[in-house]
Amino acid sequence: MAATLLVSSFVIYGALYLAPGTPLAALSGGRNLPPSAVRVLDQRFDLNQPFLARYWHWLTGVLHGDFGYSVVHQSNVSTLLGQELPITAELILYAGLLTVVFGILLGALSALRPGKVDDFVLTLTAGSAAMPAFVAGIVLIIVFSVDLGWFPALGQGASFISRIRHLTLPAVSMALAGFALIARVTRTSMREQLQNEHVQTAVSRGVGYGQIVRRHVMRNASIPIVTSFVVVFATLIALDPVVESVFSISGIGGTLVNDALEKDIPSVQGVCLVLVAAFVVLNTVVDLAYRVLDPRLKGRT
Amino acid sequence: MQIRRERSLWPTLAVAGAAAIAVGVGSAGGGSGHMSIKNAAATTSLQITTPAATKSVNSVTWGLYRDVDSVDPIFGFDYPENTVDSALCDALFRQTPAGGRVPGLALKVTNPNPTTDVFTLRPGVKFWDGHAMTSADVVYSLQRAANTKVGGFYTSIFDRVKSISATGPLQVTLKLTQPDEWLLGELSSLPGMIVEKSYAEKAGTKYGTMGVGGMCTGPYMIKSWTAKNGLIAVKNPHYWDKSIHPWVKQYIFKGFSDSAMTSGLETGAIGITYSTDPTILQALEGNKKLSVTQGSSYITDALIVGNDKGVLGNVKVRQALSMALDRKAYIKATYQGDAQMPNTLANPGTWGGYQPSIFQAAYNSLPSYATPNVTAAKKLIQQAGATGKTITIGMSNQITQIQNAATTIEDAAANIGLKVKLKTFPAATWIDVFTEAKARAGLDAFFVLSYPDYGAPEGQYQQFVLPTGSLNYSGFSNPQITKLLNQSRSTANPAARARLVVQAQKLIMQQLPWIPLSDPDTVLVTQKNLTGAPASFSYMYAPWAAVGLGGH
Repeated sequence: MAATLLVSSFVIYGALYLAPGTPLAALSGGRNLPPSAVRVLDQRFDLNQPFLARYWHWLTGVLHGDFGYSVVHQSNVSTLLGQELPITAELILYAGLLTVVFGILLGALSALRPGKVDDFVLTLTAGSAAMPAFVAGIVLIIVFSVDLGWFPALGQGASFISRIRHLTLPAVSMALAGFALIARVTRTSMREQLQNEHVQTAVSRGVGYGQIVRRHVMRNASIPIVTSFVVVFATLIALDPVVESVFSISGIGGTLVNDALEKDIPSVQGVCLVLVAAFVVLNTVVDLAYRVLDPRLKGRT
Repeated sequence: MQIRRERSLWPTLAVAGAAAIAVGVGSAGGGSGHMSIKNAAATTSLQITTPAATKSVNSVTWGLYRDVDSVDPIFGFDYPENTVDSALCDALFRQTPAGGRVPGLALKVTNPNPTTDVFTLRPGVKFWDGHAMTSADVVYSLQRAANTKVGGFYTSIFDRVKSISATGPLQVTLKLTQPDEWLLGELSSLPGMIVEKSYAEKAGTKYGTMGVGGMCTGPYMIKSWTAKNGLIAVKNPHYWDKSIHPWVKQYIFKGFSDSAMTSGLETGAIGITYSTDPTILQALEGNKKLSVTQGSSYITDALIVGNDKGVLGNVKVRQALSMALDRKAYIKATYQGDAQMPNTLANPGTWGGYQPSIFQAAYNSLPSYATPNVTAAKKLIQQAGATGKTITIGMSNQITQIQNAATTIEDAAANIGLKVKLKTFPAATWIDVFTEAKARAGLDAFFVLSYPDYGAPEGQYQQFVLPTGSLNYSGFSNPQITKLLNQSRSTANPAARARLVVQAQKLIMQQLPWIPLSDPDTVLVTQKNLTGAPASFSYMYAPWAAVGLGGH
């Protein structure tokens, strides 16, 4: 895990310098600045030091919780992250919850009720997987915010209830593709389990339907579902900047988009690192979860 | 005075409505009388004011194209910072909604001799923290703005200033190398905004940043400022100007992407914005819940000739290209039909409050660009021996306004026998063309939207016609124009000054160091239940919008 993070950090740091443009352009905004102003800005934001020196400086800072100074927002990146990370976390969690709950529900329904219900779920998931998140977001805004006025069109809200109202449409936009995947995987996996010998044995022994589904089917079906969820979670993280932009949510994703355009390199590096770290940590957690779900894996790495 | 930062897909600053111009001046300050600008295509008026508000409002979200990055006036030049700084801080002089100039923190300027300016400061002014403003604060603010070590953007406006000193508790004296009328105009803008010395000294280089904030004397003060919630400003209960009664208790200044701005306006989440994106206006114009008002502006939309040694280095070629442009079509496509014909490179909005009759007459006397004259243009190209030659133009195909402008240039060039090669930049690096010589290498010309710091055509012209101008990329230098402008700078009498500028302007419009495309309008969008903000460019420099807006 540490090695992955280290390599990622170098890639993140280096990639931004390959892109053309400098923060100076954003700060000066097109004026021909007097040389004195350029000197002051260069000094203040370390724009003239060699690459490796800057990388080292940044990396050691990060390990102390100092992500550098945002040139565009004129404040510490760690302050920005601190303010905005909770919102992004809430949004991703909300979307993740919707994905899992509705995905598993509909997938299970589809597996246990073949025929018309199954067909309906298949069509629904095909449609939802095909729609890009930002298109979904805009359509949802038009229908539910502008026309019906049921949900706010932008921002993240202050109080708990307000936050849920504000984050519902964004979470739904983000969940669409992932929920389809989870539903399909659940359906396939459960169907497979339903045909297994031990399930047939339980049925013939008169074990209750509910118990069969819970103990014999779901538990074994869950491993592929959990694997899919990791993929879905990565998608949620990737979709987060897009959706936050569309809904003007002040999370780290929205900041990433804005600041990348404005060449605010420290801020973009900080956000990328956080997102990558989140993904790496999630993977580790899931690995541990596997061992709980499948005791056969306990012995191996 | 600067070009704004271009965001991808964010074209321009002006907007919709019907074509051209009558400036009805009903200014809230000490503006000049009523003026009507006649123009070949004139059909409707450009407003300055909107009906006065009558009800207070608890909170209004003010939409900006991006979040504010600093409230330090000396680092402000772009729409978001100007909008916020104008509500939070007062300058020594104030710009009226029509673009005129009235006393602000300075009551008057007297001249014991032509090279000495003595400013008498207004008594009874307090900063938000309750401390009284004194000459020490003014001296500190001006010296800070002038100090190249601090790195502010306005150091060059002080180039005729020898010394700044406090000569009394409410008196500041500036000694100049030559008389300088332009300085007074600049001091009605951001470099003239006064901050508290003790607060700024304590904050050091962090003054104006999100964590530290600022300390000014304006009608609104910062309540809180976070990346998450934007900058929240509330009414200043101890504001010195008792003639001003702001209706809005709290403003939330926040940046929104174009789609969020549209949906925010449509759902009522955003109360007011001065739109910088004509494309969203198409969607909003029909909306019954919104009021869209076009007003006068200071903005110039032009093609900068950056290389005086190329094909465009020949004045006949520049004149020909300018003559052949179909500006009506361009204005219709880009600004939904509304911007002024640029008989003058300076926008007519820049003289609404400054000798309008003199400048108006000059505008009317200059050739109108309403109809392209391809035949005459072709002849000029032949005379210049430029038929078949190629000009390289820098543009960004991710910015609609620039794309339209490039098409307009290409069409005109094709009609008169010139070839055009386009060099495209992505929107994110478009700004490099202005800041890095490397990016400009090989370009004959590139597009710009620029505006002066105060309401005067010379404020716009000096940036690109004077050899030392901050937007002079070609090294353009015409001794007669330079002489006239420098003379105007030393001329105290406004009418005499305006006449000198008009002479320089005539030459400028013959020489065309920049080729004008249009003079866009300001566009104000508010919820229908809000009114009172002026629809002019004054929102960039003075508090009229913030203090005028309210319910009705």
